[in-house]
Amino acid sequence: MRTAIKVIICVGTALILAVGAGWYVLSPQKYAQAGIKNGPWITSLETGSEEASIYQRARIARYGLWALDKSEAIYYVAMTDSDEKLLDYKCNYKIEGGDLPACWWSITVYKDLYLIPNNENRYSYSKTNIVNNTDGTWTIKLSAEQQESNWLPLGDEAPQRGEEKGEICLTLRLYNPDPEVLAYPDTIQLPHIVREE
Amino acid sequence: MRRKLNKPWKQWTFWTSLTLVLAFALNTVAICALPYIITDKVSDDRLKSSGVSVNQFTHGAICVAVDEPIIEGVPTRVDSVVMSCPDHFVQFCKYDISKKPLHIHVSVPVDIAPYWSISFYAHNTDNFWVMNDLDVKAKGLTELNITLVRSGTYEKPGNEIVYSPSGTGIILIRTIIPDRYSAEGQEAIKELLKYRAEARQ
Repeated sequence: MRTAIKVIICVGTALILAVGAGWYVLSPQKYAQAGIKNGPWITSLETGSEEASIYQRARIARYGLWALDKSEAIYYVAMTDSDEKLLDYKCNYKIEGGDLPACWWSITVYKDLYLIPNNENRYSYSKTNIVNNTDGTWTIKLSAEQQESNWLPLGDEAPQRGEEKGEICLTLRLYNPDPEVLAYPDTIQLPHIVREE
Repeated sequence: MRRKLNKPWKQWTFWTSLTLVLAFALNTVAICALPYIITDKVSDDRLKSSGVSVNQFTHGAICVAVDEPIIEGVPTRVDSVVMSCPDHFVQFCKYDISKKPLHIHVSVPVDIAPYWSISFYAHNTDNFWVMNDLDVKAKGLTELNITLVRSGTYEKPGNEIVYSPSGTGIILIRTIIPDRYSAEGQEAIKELLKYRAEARQ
């Protein structure tokens, strides 16, 4: 009888530890820690690859199911601004950049990993539809309030009670990336994310 | 006396070690199994919602929409796939080649979209083969004939042959339609649906 109780406690504790460890290694924060950092942007060259570790494969299945291999697309994720402060639903941001080293690129905003509903039907900006500044650079305004151009809405209605919270993240997708992206994913020039006071 | 003192320690060490080993084993099995479980869940949901079966592209179901307005909602929180790309139009096929190879025929919209690709995923979500619009253009093609077989099996030369490391998996045809949820994007999708994507065994 005592042995049976010990076995039950052992199995129960092991289950709790296994679930807890799984929760931790699959968390977005752990994804950020395990990735390659370039300013606020984080990527992994193992994404979609047969060389991925079991943990990275599980993270990708959870957060980026059926992602393409690095030769086809590179995915950068930002959960903070360039000053390493978490992106905040209540703040306004400027995303400043120029042409990126890929055949095609896009920047998409998510709240709690989902697209943010808005009346503009605007969820991303890309190489195709971004409006460039006169010097060839571009600026995307990330805000809940309407902006003049290149506005990426964080929703267009006052958040309901409880909706103010939520994790905002940006994904930068580079399709057919230039060889320099694969060679120097941590130093290539990527957009700055600047919080506006 | 010495034996009495050591026995509880030995028991503690045994049960603690057993718990940790068991926890590690359970965690590893769960982490390894997760991609398979998510693949099965998401692909079964897609087949159910589109009304197509295994080894068919979700093309037939949406072809109906060519002559009708497409009313396509933005993915919401009930969708099982998170962080979906709002600029992708995706045609999906769950394959099962455990008994027979799969023959795939696709027309490539080389001049419609800024990016197009057909990509193959093993059951564990690894992307083991991909061909994009630039590859297709370089070969001077506008249509592709691909035969998908299990690794280690022989297939006579002819079509492009792709070897899958698993008996089941996923094929995705991605076409980038910027602003796909806008009126213009929905019009572009209508045009895209005229291109063929077929699979047969």
